[in-house]
Amino acid sequence: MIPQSLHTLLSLDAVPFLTAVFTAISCALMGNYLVLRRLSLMGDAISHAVLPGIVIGFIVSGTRSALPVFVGAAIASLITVVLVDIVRHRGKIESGASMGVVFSIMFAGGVLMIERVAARNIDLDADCVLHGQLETFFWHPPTTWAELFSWSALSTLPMEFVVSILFLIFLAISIYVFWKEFLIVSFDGEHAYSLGMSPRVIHALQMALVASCVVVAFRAVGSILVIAMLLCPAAAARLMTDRIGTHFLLSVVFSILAVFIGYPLASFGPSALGYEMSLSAAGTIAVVSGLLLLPAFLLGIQDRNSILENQQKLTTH
Amino acid sequence: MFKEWLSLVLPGAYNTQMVLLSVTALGVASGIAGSLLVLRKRALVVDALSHATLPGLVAAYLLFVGILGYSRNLTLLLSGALISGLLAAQAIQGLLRFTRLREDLVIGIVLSTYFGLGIALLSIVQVLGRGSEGGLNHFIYGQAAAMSASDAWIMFYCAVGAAILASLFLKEFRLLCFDADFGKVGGMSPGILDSLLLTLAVFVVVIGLQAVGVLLMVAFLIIPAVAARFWTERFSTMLILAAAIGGASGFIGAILSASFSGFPAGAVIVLTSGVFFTISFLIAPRRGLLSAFIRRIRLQMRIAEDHLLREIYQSLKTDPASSRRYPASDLLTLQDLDWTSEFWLSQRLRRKGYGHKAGDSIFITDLGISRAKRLTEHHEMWEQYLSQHSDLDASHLHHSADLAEHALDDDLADKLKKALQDKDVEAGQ
Repeated sequence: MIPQSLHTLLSLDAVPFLTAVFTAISCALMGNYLVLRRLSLMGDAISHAVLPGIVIGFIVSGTRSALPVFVGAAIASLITVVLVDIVRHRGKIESGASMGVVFSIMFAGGVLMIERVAARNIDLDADCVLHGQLETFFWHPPTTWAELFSWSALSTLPMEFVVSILFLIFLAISIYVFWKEFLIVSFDGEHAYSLGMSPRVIHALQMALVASCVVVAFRAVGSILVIAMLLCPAAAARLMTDRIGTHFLLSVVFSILAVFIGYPLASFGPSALGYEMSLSAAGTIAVVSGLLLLPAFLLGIQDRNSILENQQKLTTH
Repeated sequence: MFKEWLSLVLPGAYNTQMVLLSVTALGVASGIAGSLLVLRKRALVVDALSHATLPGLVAAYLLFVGILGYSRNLTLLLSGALISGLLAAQAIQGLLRFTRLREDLVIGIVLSTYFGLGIALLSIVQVLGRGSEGGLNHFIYGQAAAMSASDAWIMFYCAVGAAILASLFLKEFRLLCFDADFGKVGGMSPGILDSLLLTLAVFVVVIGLQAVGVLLMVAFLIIPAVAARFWTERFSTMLILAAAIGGASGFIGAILSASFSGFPAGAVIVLTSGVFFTISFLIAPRRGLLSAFIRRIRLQMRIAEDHLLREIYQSLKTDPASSRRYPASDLLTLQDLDWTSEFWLSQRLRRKGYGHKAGDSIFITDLGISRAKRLTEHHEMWEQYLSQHSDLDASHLHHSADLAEHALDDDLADKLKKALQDKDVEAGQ
């Protein structure tokens, strides 16, 4: 028999917690590329702009089937990238402003659609955009240890959990397979071109993977907090190393740390202080992942010429 | 008196009228502040700051309503939002100064961390069970229709104040946007002006929170400004246009969202400004897509016309007795044009009086021949010039001259002629 307290933990907290862990690792992995390629704003833009794609995916499938949502999000992110490019080059508008215009119009469209859809009782609402639905990933685990890992018990796991773990596996394999291509494109597009790779194709592939991360994270943490999951662990790694392998490793460590500290803090922190409530897990994880930059900074490497570089950074902006 | 005047110009009850008026004023302030931000390339910094107003807003609510038991007070809530927005600006500056992280990354970090804090605090409000009563949800996606007249008055005064403040420092801001170093000489340091600009932007974001919402307020700042940018190259014109577009978007959006239930005000207002943006992007002269397209077609036509005339001149030289009548199909297929362009090309020839197309023949006039002669001279001159003054291989000369000759107007051609003659004289000596 599984003890009662453990059973409660399994049904209430285990699945949301593990979903958050897997999602955070996926996001952190792709975040490395965003940070190293100086495309952090693209992460910001894509996370907002895929919203209409996600909503249309939901409307089309009408169910919780994941594929249409992925397709919708991928199309939306592609449209965003293309539109930003057109506004920027054809309209000769500065890149930040052209990004801001495009993704906020797409986001507003998504919000409007969500409000219309919510009236039709589809399992999607505007609050989900803000903080996801991590707390609703319940599971009814069996009462005995023997049944715990049986197929019948595992098949009742929430789909979001299954998707998050499958996507992590898929992403890890993709990164492993394309490791060299991704890195060469990240650091030296022309060299990549001379090796017969197409920087455009690989760029598109990377952006599609970022969009997929946003979709996987959407149900868990919503559209906006995913930015923290994408950028903060990779930024912390950036503060601590210049070695690429270590960079990826550290980002994964920081993403796991953020969930390991953030989730219990949200779920059990207030009750430990005597308040009968819990905080939003997604919000708390985002805050913790941001705060983890501080130890990373204190333990991190200081550039020998950092003062000079920072001054240049400030004057050029 | 005021109410009567209001009902003469605006539809709806007094409350609705005040909302319309204040959202329009907000749009005007947004347009002005947004133009300054876009020109100073600070659009996405303010995106972070506007997300970062959420924790301050919720914290002020928790403190004053949850703990101290005050009734909901808009000014206190917005002050909280303003403070956390400004703290976020400090956080961005600090991270840039003390770490190796770049600005784009720092913007993303501050945006998401502050917003996360806001969401965590919001979950406390929801447990207190007063979130919906306090209307905090309205601050996320904006709910203009739910505003009271007194809230609308506050928003109106603040928006007008922000617009006036921006106008007072217009000269300084203009220097900051276009020539920050020169501005340094002029008196106020760019650092102080930058802080003033960001403060102004956060202030406009904060007063728009209730009507447009945390998530979309930054869009309401940027979009009218970028839409205005398509129409003009002048600073003052851009500001006026952006203010007009912002005001119109606010007005139309607020009417739409008030008329149909279930349309969140923030999204509708932003999408309205998005329509203005799209129209501007498509049809604006100079920067618009359509005008760029027309320019390209015109250039193509002109090049095709030049080539066609030169072709005719060549055959005229070899066969001076010909009847000035040329098979159109040969000449046109030579230019590699589709049939619409062929049509436009023959129209163009007729309009300029160079010739006309009848059936499968092109007739050429005297004017056309003199033009053709001149074009051929230009082409030869370019070839000659390039052969003398550039390192181009002889086999490339013709093609390069082809590319350049179309930009040759008569003034330039005369200069070129003179330059070549001088060269010949030099060579003769």
